[in-house]
Amino acid sequence: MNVLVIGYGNELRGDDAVGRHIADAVSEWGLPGVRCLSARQLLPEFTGIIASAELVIFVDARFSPDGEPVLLEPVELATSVHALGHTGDPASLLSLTQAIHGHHPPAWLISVRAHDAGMGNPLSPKTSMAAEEALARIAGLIGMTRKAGVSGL
Amino acid sequence: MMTQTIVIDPVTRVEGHAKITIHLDDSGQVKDARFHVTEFRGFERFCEGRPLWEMPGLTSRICGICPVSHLLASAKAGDAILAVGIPPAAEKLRRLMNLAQMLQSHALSFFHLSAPDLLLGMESDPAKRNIFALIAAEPELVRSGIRLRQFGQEIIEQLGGKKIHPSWAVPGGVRSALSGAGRDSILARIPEAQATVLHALDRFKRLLSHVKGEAQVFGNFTSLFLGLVGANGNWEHYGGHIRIADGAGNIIADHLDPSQYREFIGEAVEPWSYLKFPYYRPLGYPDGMYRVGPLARLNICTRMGTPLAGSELREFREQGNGAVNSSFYYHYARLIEMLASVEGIERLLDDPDLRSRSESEEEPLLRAHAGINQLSGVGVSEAPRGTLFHEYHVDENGLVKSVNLIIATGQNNLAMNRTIAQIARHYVRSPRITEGMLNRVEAGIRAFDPCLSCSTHAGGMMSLHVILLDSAGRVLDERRRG
Repeated sequence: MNVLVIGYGNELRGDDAVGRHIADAVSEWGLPGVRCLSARQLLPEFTGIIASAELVIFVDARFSPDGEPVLLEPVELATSVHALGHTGDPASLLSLTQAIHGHHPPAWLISVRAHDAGMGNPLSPKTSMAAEEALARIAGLIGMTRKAGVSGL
Repeated sequence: MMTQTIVIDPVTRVEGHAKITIHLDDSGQVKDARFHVTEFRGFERFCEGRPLWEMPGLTSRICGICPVSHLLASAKAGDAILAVGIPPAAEKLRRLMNLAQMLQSHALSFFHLSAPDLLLGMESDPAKRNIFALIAAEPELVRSGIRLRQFGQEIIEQLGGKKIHPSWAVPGGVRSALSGAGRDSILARIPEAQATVLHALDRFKRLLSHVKGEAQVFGNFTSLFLGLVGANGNWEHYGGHIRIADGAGNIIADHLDPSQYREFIGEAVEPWSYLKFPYYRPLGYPDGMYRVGPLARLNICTRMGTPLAGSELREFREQGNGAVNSSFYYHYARLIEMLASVEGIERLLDDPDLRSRSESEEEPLLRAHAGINQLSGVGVSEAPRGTLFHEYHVDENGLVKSVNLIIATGQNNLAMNRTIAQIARHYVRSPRITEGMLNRVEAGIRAFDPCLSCSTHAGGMMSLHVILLDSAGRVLDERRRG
């Protein structure tokens, strides 16, 4: 199966980069058929590699005052786009893929609750723990059972 | 008497966002407009104590859209602190990367963000005035625009190793050369890139007669224009000197040393925005308002320096009288700069300096090695959105003591405020927020292509939240978009 994992965020901003840490960790698993992309933000040219995947997993930080440490939700096609921004969101990118290539793979968004976006800070302990849970969710999504002791963070 | 304020506020999850307030006077006429930026301002302090050699890689992470701009301005500040002249191959490779950056950033702005406004019409339903509708209407135009952006990104990747944040330029030069295979790959895609830009230019020029109304009110006022020009006055993006022209096209200052920017640029602050308000110091604040970026660069340069873009510049100047003053024409200028970038890339690839090397070296000379020879340095280059200044002060060990960055969006701050006010004056007719007014304000901001995502990736999502308040703070009207 051809799986694409896209983790995105700003690596200078603490927990904002948790998606990238997770994408790097999945990459270290070295699984055949799994491609990982660690990016600052979602950009329109990603549509090409998304169109060629059979499953896409977006991984992002979620700044919210409460909620589950890790949320897993399907990505639906967007019905609107941000008016002024330079960055995309998973739904918009999926819609762009559909519009340009005529198809899109099923996609999931894993959002990890973030606590600290301080400039230059490392991942906070709470977000680091949540990242482990996110890795387990990703492993489940791509149909594998993580081997004991496999952790990239 | 009742004073009314219209607030256009973004919905973002962390800092790095902006809102717009439109202030009405007692008679209901637009008095003022403010583009409030609550951008995170901790980056300059974050750099303190870092080794100078880390600065290009570090500052390139300020922005995911124009990392190369910060990379190059930072490397140039480092060159100044080392007090070295970098090898010719290194300078030309940096130029090549900057042109690729200009191309990919402008392509995103034009094809992805602005083309729906321009090609589908300002009056069209915002739900149907977006990139998806444009793909349905003109699929090939959008596909070619995305390929053009990819082309720019791939050049950056050929040089820097990865598309975003290539820590490739360093104080004293660059880390690696362009491979022969990389050069061949870029050359092979030049014809397609040029055809894409020429087609888009042709489409845009055919639209001009239909958008005269927008051109009249989208930031159509005189101001100063500032940017780099080459030694011969030609369009420039990496080196050269600062030139300033007025709204009639008169050159009012020339041959200014970019490293001495503090002599001619002042930085005002306002309590309602984190973004500084640079101004031309001899005229004071706010009379010293100036614009930077594509429109400014085309207004100040003598010639483009390449044949196709040069021909387009002559036609572009017919839109103005001495200078082209409407901010609406940022789009037009951006297209011409894309053409100049493609021409410039092709020319650089044939430049023998790109492969210059000493007799004993197999690789080109790419880097001048030196220690700390100056305790401060300024690096200036043209980012897609305008002139970018990096100023560093270091100790004798090269540890950064202080940093000052002047970014393009900040320099356009005064002009963006004035643009929004002008659009609002034309379209606000009642204490209600109309669809037409929102469309125009959005489009007016888009003309400048401001970049506020300097602190977190969510910052680039500028959804709009518009609130109309009376003097007592009561909400008269409220609209959300995005």
